[in-house]
Amino acid sequence: MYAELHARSAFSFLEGASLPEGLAWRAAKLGIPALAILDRDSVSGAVRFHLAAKKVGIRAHIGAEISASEGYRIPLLAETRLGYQNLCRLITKIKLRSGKKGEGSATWEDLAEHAKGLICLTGGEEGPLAYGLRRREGPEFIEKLTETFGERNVYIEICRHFDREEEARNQAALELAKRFELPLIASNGVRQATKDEREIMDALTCVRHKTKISQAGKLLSTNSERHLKSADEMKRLFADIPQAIEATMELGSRLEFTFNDLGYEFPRYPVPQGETMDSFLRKRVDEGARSRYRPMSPRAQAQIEHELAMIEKLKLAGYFLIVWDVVEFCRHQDILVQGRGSAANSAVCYSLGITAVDPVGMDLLFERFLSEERGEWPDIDLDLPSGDKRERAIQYVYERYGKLGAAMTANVITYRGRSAARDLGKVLGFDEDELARLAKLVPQWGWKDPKETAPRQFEEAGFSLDNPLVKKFLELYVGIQDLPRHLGQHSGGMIVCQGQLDSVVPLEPATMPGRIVVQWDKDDCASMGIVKVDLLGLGMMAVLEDSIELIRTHYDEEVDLAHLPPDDPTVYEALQRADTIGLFQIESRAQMSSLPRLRPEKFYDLVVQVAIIRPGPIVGQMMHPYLRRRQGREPVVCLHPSLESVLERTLGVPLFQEQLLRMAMIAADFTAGEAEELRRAFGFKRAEARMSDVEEKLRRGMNKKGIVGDVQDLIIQSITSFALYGFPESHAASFALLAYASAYLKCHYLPAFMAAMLNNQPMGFYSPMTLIKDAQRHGLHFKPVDITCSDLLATIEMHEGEKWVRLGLNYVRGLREQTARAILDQRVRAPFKSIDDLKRRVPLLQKNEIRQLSQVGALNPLKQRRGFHRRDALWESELALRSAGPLFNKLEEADQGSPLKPMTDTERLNADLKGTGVTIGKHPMAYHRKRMNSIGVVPARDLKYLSTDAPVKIAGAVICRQRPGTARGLLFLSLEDETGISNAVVMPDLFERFRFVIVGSEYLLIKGLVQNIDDVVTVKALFVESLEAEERGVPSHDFH
Amino acid sequence: MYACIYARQLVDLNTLEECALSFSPSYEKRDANTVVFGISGLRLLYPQLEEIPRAIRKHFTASTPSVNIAIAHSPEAAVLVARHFNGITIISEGSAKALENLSVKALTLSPEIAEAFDLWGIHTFRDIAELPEGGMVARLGPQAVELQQMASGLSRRPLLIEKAKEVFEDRVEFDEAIELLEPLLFVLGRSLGDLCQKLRTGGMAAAGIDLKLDLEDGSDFERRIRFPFPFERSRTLLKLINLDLTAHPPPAPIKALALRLVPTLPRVVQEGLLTPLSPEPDKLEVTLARIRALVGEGNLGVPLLLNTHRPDAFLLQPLEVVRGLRAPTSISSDERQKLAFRFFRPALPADVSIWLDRPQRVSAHGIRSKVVTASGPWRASGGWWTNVPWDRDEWDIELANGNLYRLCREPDGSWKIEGAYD
Repeated sequence: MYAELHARSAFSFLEGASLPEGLAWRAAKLGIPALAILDRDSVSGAVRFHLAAKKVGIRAHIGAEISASEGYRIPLLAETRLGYQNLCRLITKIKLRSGKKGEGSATWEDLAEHAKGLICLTGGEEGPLAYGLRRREGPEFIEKLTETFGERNVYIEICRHFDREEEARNQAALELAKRFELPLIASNGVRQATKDEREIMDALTCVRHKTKISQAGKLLSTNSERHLKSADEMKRLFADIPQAIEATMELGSRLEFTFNDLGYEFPRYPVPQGETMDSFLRKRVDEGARSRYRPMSPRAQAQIEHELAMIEKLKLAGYFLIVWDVVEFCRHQDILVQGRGSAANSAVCYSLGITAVDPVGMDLLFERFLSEERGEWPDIDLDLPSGDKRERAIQYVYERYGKLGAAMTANVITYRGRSAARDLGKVLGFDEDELARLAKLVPQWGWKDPKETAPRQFEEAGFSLDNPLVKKFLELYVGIQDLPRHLGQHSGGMIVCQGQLDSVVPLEPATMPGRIVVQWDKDDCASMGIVKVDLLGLGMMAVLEDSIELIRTHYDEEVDLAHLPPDDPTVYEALQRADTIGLFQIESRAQMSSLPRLRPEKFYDLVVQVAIIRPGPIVGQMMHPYLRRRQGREPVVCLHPSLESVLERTLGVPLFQEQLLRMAMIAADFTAGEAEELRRAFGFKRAEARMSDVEEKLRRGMNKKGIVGDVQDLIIQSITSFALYGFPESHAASFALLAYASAYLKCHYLPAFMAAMLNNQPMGFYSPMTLIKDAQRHGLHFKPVDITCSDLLATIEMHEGEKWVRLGLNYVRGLREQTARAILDQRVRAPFKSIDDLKRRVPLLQKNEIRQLSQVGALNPLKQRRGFHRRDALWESELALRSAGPLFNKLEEADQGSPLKPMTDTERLNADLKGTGVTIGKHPMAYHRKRMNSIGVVPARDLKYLSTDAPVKIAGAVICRQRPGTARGLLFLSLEDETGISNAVVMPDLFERFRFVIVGSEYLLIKGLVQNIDDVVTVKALFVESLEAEERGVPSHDFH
Repeated sequence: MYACIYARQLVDLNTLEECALSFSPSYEKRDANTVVFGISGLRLLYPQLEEIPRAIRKHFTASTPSVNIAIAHSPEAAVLVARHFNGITIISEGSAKALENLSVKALTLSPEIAEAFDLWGIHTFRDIAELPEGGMVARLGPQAVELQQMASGLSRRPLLIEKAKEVFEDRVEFDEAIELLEPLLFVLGRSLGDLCQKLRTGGMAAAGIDLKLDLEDGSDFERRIRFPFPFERSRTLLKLINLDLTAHPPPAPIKALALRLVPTLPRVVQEGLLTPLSPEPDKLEVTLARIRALVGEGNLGVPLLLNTHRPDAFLLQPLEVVRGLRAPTSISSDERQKLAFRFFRPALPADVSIWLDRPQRVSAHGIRSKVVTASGPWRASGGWWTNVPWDRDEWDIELANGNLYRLCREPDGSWKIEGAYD
């Protein structure tokens, strides 16, 4: 028998060519009973390796190669749990000490400090022994290693890759082993699972060294021998040293540590003396519940008791208190915070103020959040306003729990699509133009034409597959997919483990200053049962927070989001009309086309609305049956009688994750554990393979219960389509709350809502221009950017008793924030008298900035004479920019006024769009209305009066081009004119015909047929042409 | 007065230049499509101004792409008018009126000024001309004056006359075809003498020779010789041609020859007092040419080891004479211990008998023995991204007589002895 105890995976980032799963699978296939992965200063792949090894039935040993300050790498294996903890601490120490991502090395003192429980191998050509032998200090290095790790814990490693120098080193190693009486151990210094992957390894080496394969020379592998080899092959190689092979099994048996014995404990929360975490939590929940439930119902009381008992039993009180503490911090700092996801199923979370949805009132299932039986740990996601405030909350957690006590989860950045194409293209030596063409070949749109096979695509792009480089590119491109490239940080996932996190998983600095990340991603953390809290940035939270502040200031009213009127008729009327531009989650074209059909009347309808326009329900063909049943056009029939209780609330159609889990449990007799596996499969990025396993299991289960044929297929389709993403009900409820709040503010406090929306761009589906035009159609007035009164951000101003929105200086493109602040500082001291005065007092102002301010009219109020216009300002500002000297000053005195003509309407519009991206004047299409009327173009507002199949012409500025993966090649276009937005759908063949026009034109004219169903009007395009316009286009939201 | 010819489609610039030269010895080539020249001296030949453009037009046949011809008071105005008005245009009085509707894009503007004009709504020459000069200068700097003058047709920039390049060419046609090298060299020697004299007079030297021979069978025979150093002595050049033609004789008798020297600046080297003398460059080049003629093209140069795992991969680089002493490359202690290896070129094909995957006996030209010791295989492969990937196993063997050799097995299973360890 032979165990391979020194392999590197792709988690050595560009220094290994195979995923841990691939290595584990190959090892099992070769009959290797145990495998150790030692990545470079990392255990990032260890969890995936552990899980994969478990699946294929081999033992997974954990270790790492530690970079030493002299440049070699010391391979270390974790013998015991203490050893693993020491390994994590050692990696953390060297990583945090360097302070830079991807750097750091250990000293002999570091190694000695963390040596307990670790076994040291002497390594291959990059190991300490090779380094010592090169310096003719082999014995000294062996002595150092044995002193540091103990004589019993140092193994002399020998590899045989058919290399002369390596064999010379082996001979020296044999002598040293004899002299120091140390055991010899054979390894293959594995870099890849199979022989063929050597090519990927070479390509990754080139990426790492930023060189082309043709110039990499001796950086590349000498041969293809560094793959996993069977016991027989290894025995043949080491026939003269059989003890080196036997030693692998002996050492393997010594390595008792596995991830089953990680030693992670749920986090603790510091409580006052005399309190336990449980008692402290109970008090906080009691306080909160009394304020939330007024009056407290027996049902709510019982639910809270049930949850607290469960939390106590699972020893999770510390975790809830940590999250509560973050929420309390936010509250004290006036940072809006709201829990999302499954936490909304918990009455304890509701009472602690973590979530805003009452799970008792909404009849949500707590066990979806926390269940002892399923062995599932809670995962609380908090939405915070994006930007500085979220960062403050993150930094608070770091400060509260210490540098070694809290960290963000990692995000493994893998090779996908364009990144793979670009890196490989560079490696193979393609030039910039070819690289651009190769990158374009990577499908970026959601939908992929089945005819677009790789060879056809390559040939169309001018690449011949007869060229060996192109052929290799294709092979490598496929092979490199999903390999990790580097470790990033997750957008908001944090794990907390007071002062001990570094003994669970190594920590390292992120690229972003002040951030520390663990080496595991969120899936790894979940697999290891580590609880985490997600602090996510949400633009809409910032909008809501800013709106409340603006309302407080300008309306003198206090809006409490937790106590908004629940069934506001104005809000529901707007929702039913699909008047939802700017609203959270329900503003997209797809959402707007389903709103008039679903016609939400109460909050739960909004929950359904949020959940229904997702790839899961759409691909699972659940959306249309639900809408038809909702409209009474189809009887409410359940998929199967046994599922009635589960699907009753959603008219017999499964829409939420919870329903699908319950369906699996009822229809296929899934155990709680299997249902958990199913749920996890939904959330995983690597879902496809897992989902096919699950499907098989589902079918077996249903066959046993006699659910067969079409019904079985339907249930399977419903469940598996959720791999493409569907919402849990509680999550949809949390989002629906935000959607409702945004709708409420838009309906009742439009100026404040709009100002807040403009101040938090980019976010949502529409550009600021579309948001402004929509607000104007709702009667809101805007004022332009004005150097004498605009603030940095958009504000509200009173104008003849009405609230108008004044655009902020932040909308002037190219105006740096520091310049804008300097302008504001000076303006507070004294108003500006002239452009010259402005330039003199704000020396930071650069030429492009003052030009931009002039052309958007922001300097017009500094008029020095009647009829002062933008070009006058440009003329004067140009002079203010130059220090003319006494000679030209005199000239200027004679040069009274500007000789420039005022801008025309179109020029002004273009200047606005170029300088600010928005215009508060007429919509560009308004200038063409007369012409449009003459050729029979129907304005967007009037489309609803047309009946289905009526021929029609529509025209407007393109604001959205979408080709979603779920729509089988259809392209959706949204055109905006001065009256609103019209939608068109383009069939795949027509798109191919007009691709250039559709993609390349800012204004389009479409001839087609009306499809008017339930007041949702779409034009089925029959002909598309570009509309000639002097006006610039408006920003479009394309292909997302 | 000035005339400008602008070809609306790309033409051979020589056509335009020839036309310009036939009217004026000094002309300016503005770009590939435009020439401009003075016509004031032509008034004696053509008393009526209108006759000049008509005469120019006659130079172009019907097959020549359309040309615009403009006559104006300044070269700039003539160029602008020619580029933007089709046919013949004469502006005898002030040009401002004629130019006023031209777009500002017709001027070559800096990005900054172009942006300023765009922002100011200045679109035509008239817009520029109407701006107050003082105001423009104060805002755009002194170049504003020139722009305004150009826009008003008042620019007075002189012509930028280009000097023709000297050519070092000669052509000799023979009454009877030459069959032997000697008479050809005699003629070449004379031509080279004249051309080298011309080179020296111009303070130049030759960087190479292009020789084209018209052969009796109607074909052409060309030789292109480039030197590592510039040479100016005709004898050296003749010797180099001699050696080249000896190595590459023309296949048929020669009817005519065309010789061209590639001019370059001569090489000036300051010899150091303590620097050892190296061979004279021209003598060295002649010697190298002799060797090249013996060993064949591509087989002479300085070997450069390639950065690859493939053993014995090298490239021949052209020889460069390095002045001064070169420090000997230090040999690492590891390398000092290694045996020296001598490559057999070409490698010796060998018959090898194998037992338990190891060589047992080897026989090759001059070598036939039992293998006493064999270590290996040493395996290397690469070039997998090319059309010629390589893969090989090597063995180091000791024969009964104590000699050490390197055996190599190619992917096709054949064996070679690559060399011996000294």
